[in-house]
Amino acid sequence: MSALPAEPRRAGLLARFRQDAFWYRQRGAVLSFAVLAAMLALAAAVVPGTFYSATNLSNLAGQLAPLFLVSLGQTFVLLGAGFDLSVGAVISLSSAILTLDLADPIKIPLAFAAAATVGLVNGWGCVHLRVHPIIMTLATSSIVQGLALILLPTPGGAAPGLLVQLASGTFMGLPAGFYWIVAGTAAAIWLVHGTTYGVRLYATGQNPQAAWMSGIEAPRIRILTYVISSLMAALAGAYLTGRLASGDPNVGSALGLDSVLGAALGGTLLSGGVGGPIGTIAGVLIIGVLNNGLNLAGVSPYYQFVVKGSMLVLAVSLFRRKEAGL
Amino acid sequence: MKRILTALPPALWGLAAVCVFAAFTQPQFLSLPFLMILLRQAAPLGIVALGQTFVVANRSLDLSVGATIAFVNLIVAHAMWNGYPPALVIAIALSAGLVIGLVNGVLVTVLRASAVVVTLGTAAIITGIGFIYSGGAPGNAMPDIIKWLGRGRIDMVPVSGLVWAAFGIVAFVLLRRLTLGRYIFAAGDNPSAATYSGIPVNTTLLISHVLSGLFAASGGLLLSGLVGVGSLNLGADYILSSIAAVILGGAVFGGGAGGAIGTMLGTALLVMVLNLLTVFGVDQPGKLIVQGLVIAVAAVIYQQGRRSG
Repeated sequence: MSALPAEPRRAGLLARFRQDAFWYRQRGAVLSFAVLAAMLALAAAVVPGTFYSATNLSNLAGQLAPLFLVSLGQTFVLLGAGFDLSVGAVISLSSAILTLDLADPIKIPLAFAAAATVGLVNGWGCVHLRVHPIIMTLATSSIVQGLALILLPTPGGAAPGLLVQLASGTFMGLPAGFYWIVAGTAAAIWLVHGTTYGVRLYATGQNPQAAWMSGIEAPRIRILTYVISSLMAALAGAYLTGRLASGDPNVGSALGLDSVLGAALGGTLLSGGVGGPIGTIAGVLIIGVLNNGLNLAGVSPYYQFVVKGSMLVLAVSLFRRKEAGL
Repeated sequence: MKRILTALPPALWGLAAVCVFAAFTQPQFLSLPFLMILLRQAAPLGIVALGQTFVVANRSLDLSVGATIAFVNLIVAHAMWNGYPPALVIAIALSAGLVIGLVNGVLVTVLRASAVVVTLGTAAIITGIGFIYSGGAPGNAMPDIIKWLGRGRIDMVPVSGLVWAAFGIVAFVLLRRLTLGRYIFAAGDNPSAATYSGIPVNTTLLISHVLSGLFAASGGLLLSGLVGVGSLNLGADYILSSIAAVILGGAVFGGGAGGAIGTMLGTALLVMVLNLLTVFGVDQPGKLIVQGLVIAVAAVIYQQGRRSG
């Protein structure tokens, strides 16, 4: 009797769940949605009337739209094993360009073209010149922030009328920000889970060399993640400019690192290839609900720092990785 | 020869170029009194950047240095220490840095969470604790010895410059003369290979973070002395500047290059360029652009040299 290899044991439901590629990558998202559900339940217990009021939820959507857009863009970069610190500066730059003294049909495309250029430079530097992503995007963010301040030294200027209309008011009873969130999220989920670009992106993020040898244009895929991230940042800048109806050269400064938090809290690993935009939805909502809930509960801003920082450390501690480090 | 040239930190060439440029355009910039003013200004950043060198060489990052500086500043400026010996105040400030570094190190190594996110989180926590501790109103009761450390002079030489030099020597010995330094560079260059070679990778990373916290607190002490009063947002721009100085010094997330001398040169280059721009009347936006370009060019040159070498 020839020695055949033993028949692999039939995997149980849980084991099959663990082996499935999709769920393997989305395991962080499952956890994030659980955390989010717990927080929503907590909000219902502590500040029920105020949190679940229509006004508050509509405010929340309006406040969270920019963070949603940049975090989704950041998710692409993280999936490709990159890191984009420059998104905050790109938001500010697009806000500065959108309030220049130019005709609307010129400055709106100009803002997005400028953002795409920043993304290309980031991607080129990280992928072809092999500069570490944190260093490369740190450098470009400094340059881009400087440009934004030259174009618009102080907050002011007039936003394009079209953007003001698109970013304010309500449509069919829902705030404008809600539609920006839905559109951005749908586009991101479609790109990652509905196109071959998404498949190649996961492969590239997991192992760029293996992806390259399998015939995937890994460098191009990775450069594109930076372009997508910058374009999403420009979109966030457009929304903020429309919502404020004027420009602000520092409007994005806080959003740069928050975008990494949104993606990381949603279970996207900074080492690449694990996570995705679905988890980012939960990640951004966790940040938003936490901020909003603490404010409504009347927690002093001093303690909010401590609570937010602790939540952040707790949340990332749940996603253990193979190696310590960045 | 080529190996020696590529091993030199990029900051050295930049520093030489800036000095030559300054000599032709603004000779008074290179006068001794002015250089001493620059030295006093560079020292706090220099020490913070030396601490950042340990973590960056170890392929990690410490984004909590800014919050640590602010926290140390709030501690030493608080009125509750009136009447206590200044040595105790300094010891408490330094232990605060030590504890922050230890917490960062434990979270990064034991829980294997991302250093970027962890140090951002601890930065938020420290900022909050600082606000609670100071009640949002920073005090201005600072022991004279701390002011002397930050602004004092011995003859013409600023005391803070001497402190920076002392920290530089300590960092040099730790990185290039002790086993710890070997471990840090090995673990930073290739963590898996280092693990298989029996290097205590986690302990090394933990020590790197502790050193970064300690150095950040020391830099915060000097900066507090230089400023002389408590301030809620002291040191916020030191986060990126310290990383920039380390990069200019050649230590780039593993790779074995860079070190104490490189980072000191990098700090000197950064401070000189920014001050030279001030002399030329370039304002903040222009400085940001030049700073970004300097970092990018240094990183690209370093990377190209590594690939061909």
